[in-house]
Amino acid sequence: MRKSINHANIKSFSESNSPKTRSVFKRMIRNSSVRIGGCIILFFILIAIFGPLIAPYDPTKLGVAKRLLSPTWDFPFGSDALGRDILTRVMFGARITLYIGIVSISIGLLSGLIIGIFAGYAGGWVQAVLMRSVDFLYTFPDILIAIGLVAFFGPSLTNTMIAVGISLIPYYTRVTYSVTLVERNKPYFEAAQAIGAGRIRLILRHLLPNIIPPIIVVGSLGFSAAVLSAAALSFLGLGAMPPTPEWGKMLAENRDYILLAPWVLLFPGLAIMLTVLGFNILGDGIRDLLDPRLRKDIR
Amino acid sequence: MANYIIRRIFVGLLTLLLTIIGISLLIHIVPGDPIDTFMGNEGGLESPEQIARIRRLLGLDLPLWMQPIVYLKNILAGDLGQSIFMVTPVAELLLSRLPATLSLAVFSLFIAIIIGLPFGFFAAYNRGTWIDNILMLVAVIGIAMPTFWMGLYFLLLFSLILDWLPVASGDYRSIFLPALTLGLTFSSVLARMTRSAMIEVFTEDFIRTARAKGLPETIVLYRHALKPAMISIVTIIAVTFGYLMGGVVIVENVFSWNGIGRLALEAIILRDYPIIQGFVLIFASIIILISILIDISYAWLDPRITYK
Amino acid sequence: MNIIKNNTYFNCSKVFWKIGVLITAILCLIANTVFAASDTIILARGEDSTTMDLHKTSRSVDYQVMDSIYGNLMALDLNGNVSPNYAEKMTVSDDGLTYRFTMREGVMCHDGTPFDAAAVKWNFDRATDPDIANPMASRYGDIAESYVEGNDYVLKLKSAFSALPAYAGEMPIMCPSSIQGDEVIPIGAGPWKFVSWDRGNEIILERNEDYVNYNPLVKNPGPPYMKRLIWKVIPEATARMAALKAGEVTFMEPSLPDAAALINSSEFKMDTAPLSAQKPYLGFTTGIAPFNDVRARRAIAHVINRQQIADIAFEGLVKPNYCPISPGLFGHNEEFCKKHAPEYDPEKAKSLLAELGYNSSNPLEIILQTGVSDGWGKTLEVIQQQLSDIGVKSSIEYTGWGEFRTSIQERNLATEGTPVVWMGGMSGVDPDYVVFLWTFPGGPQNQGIDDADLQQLLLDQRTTTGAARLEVLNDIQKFLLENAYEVLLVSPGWSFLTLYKSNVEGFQRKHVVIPIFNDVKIN
Repeated sequence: MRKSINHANIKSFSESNSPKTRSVFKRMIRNSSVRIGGCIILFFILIAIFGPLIAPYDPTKLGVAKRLLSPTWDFPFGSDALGRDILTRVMFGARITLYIGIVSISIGLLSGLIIGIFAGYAGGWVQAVLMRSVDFLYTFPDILIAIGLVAFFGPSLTNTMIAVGISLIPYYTRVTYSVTLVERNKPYFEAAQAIGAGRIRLILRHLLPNIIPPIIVVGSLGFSAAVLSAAALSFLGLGAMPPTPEWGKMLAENRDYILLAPWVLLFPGLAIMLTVLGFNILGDGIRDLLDPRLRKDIR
Repeated sequence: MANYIIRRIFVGLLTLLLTIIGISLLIHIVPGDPIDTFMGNEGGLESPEQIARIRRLLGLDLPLWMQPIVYLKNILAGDLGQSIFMVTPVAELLLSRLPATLSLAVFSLFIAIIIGLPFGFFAAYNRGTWIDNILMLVAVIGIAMPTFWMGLYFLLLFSLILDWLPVASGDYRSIFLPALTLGLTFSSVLARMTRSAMIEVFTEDFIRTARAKGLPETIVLYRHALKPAMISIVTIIAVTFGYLMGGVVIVENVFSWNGIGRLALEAIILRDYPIIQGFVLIFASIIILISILIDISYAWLDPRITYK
Repeated sequence: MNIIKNNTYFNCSKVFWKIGVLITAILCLIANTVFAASDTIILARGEDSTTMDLHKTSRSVDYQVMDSIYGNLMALDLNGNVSPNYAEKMTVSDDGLTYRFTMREGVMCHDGTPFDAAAVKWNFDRATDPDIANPMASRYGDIAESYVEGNDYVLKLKSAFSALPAYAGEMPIMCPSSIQGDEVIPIGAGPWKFVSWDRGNEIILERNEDYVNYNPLVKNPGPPYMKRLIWKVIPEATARMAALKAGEVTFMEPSLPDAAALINSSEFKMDTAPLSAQKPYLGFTTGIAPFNDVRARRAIAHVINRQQIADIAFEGLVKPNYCPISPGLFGHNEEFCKKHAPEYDPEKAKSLLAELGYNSSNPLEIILQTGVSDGWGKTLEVIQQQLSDIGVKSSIEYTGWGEFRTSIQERNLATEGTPVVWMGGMSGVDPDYVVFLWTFPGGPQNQGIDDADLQQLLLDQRTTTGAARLEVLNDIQKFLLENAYEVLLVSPGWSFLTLYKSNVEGFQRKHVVIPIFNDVKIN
């Protein structure tokens, strides 16, 4: 049984090819959360990439089916109010969702990374002002920030992605900042500094590799947050324009048909849920692995 | 202690001040002439007189540096400006709907707490067993479910099909569905955060010590686990409340709940700046108030904090 | 702080659960036992009024309520002809410049102040006061003199205005006591008295016990049968449907899908506003090539399949329309318009575009744009499909109305950029609105048409009446249709549905979708 928390026991990941890293990786694969989440995500990515190629119909052509058909053999997810096949649209929607996630996360993550590391290094009043502002923004629900941004700059898919990305910056900044602080105080870091390693080298060779694991976790969780936010924005009418088969938009468009054809809302909603679920489970799994405290038995 | 409280309030007010300045300059950050959008929403021909009237209402005829000052002065007098579309004082509009949003938020929080906390405790206590896994799976599914999707199906199920719950009676009964939707989503969030917090507490050395001393389990749980956990739980509830306020906007939309969230959304789409400014002001005030209260309760629970 | 006694916390959470279930059960029981009181009408709509000041708005959400409170000067019968109301007589001089409204005696406002010629004068003066900036000011005419003579209100115009009688039939008259300083307290002589307004939630009106009816559309000669009228705001269509089913509201505006599903139901009745006089239509940014060329506009017109739009976007609840002058208005003539409008002919469309240099390797790319309204987004999607069938690529911009109008204003004045086909709507009680739509220089939404002949025609239709006016109006419609400045779609187009339970009778809508409740009874 391991002893209680002692940060010095945590080896840094900067020794890249050590057996330690390989065993962590092995442990990851064996962990059921990572496996399940990973599978779901893999499935999602495959649909996103290949879906449009194998989809049975044209996602925007009207009238390929009778309107509001309930699920049948020809149209497994049924058809929507304009006579379009929902299965096809969900598959095309996967690609859009992937796109949204990647762009939003890139914007949020990269900005957050840069600002967070900068703040972690800056010290003094710059650091204080920066982190206070970030903390303040962090207390605002990110969905409201995203809504405000999109509503002002005009509704469109691009603006949605940017707005959601920006709304995630406070979150990523905080994570990066705290990791930066933690790493900076570690013996190996100070040692490297004492040897005379330049700042850039310190950041690139020592800081970044250690930031990566927590970043993967928050990246995964952030992806799911981005998908949910984008769907909410589309639902409120602030996101993708018709006839884009974005999942949140599909829910918004067919909202009035809920009594007549309840299944029309079912599949896009399930798609959102499963995708978000996958990323959450994966993120949780990796996080549990990385936090040694949770490996302990409590009894 | 008093010192600490004063300091926190001062910082809070400063933040609020900066927010106010930010808001009153908001109009100028947006591309395009703000006037155009208003004009767009009225039918009929817009005359130069109308445009001038709007300019005056928005305070746009003042120089840029004066606008935040005038806005601040007005706020202190209780005047938040007048809505362009509804030709009514913003303060009246917002304050008349604020109770609706707050009651929805509080009721949702209540539901989230009575479901989420026990779940979290239970899962943390049985950590690693199948109970924990099932509970956390349910929680993760709850988080993954889009709030508006859940809300629509609840509306379908409880109001349209089963006819159990009313939608529009406008009184206390119609709060149940939106609060349930919001509460369930955030109970999942709360459950997970509670679980992590309780696990942290359970793995502390002093817990092992207490057990080693032979104390009955219940006393271990209450006297030694609960108190340190309170700090985390207070944070968790506060954070959840913050997220909840965001979710409120969506839920108010789905259930037509007459709160400030719905008003703000309409105002954003219509570009009714006075209302948007007022909304951000009130929202920021609520958030700042909550964080001050949290910090104060921290200090009360753990006096060491005041020395920082 | 040991508040928890010797029970384990498992019991605590069990207690929580039990209490929670109990509360839920009680709430559900209570929920099932409340219905709207049977002497109250509750109408649920998607938006709230913005104001009760008659002279500060042009929005129909406002007019619907104000019409119940303030009476109309004259009335309009089923054919749109003017008939007496609060003014028992209206005489027009031969030159069309002097109008004399003889007011009925003894009519009182809700607060006891007189509803007389002086009140009417106050309305006309205030409505056209430049400081008030009334968006509907032009409907009162170009006023030279306005005075009271005994029981009569005399209006002298600078130029003849043949639409004035119809507008007089539509215009509500506020009692002067409504305006007290900066406050507006809605006081009129209409069938309903203002009680309260809970913003964003509901407006409560109660029956005017002294009301005497002169409106030819209403059968009930006295005060309304029902005691209270509540205008409730429920933005979500599904929520409105739930409220109607549960008996929480009496009337509501259904979404198109709900309406289509229930149109033949025996449980519900539906009013489809036959007098709506609405016309949704397509316009073009005529400054941006190729829409500065009539061939491009006609090409688009040739490809619009109205029936498909009516069936798919509006669930079959509307009919195709071809005339710039809406169905039901003076001058509407289906045959005439069909003759002059570009007929459905995709091949012709393709060849016209080819003449302009567009083909499969150089497709025409446009933007389809409009504001959010039930069915309008789908209309654009259907049109997008119809256009792509002839090789025109389009992207859709479907936004809030403010956004739309700002954008359109810019684009209508632009000479470069992506050409836009936009969808708008217009309605009214008189074809005079063609002036608003096409006068040059235009207003924010419409850039107007810089054609001297058309502008003269627009003025002429104001100074002519009867057959002469009909001819002028026909010339105007011919011009608009042959040059494809307007491509008409369907009618009605928005807010035209009212759904209610079968046990309610006596509901009707008069012109421009204004509801009247005087005859309503709930059985």
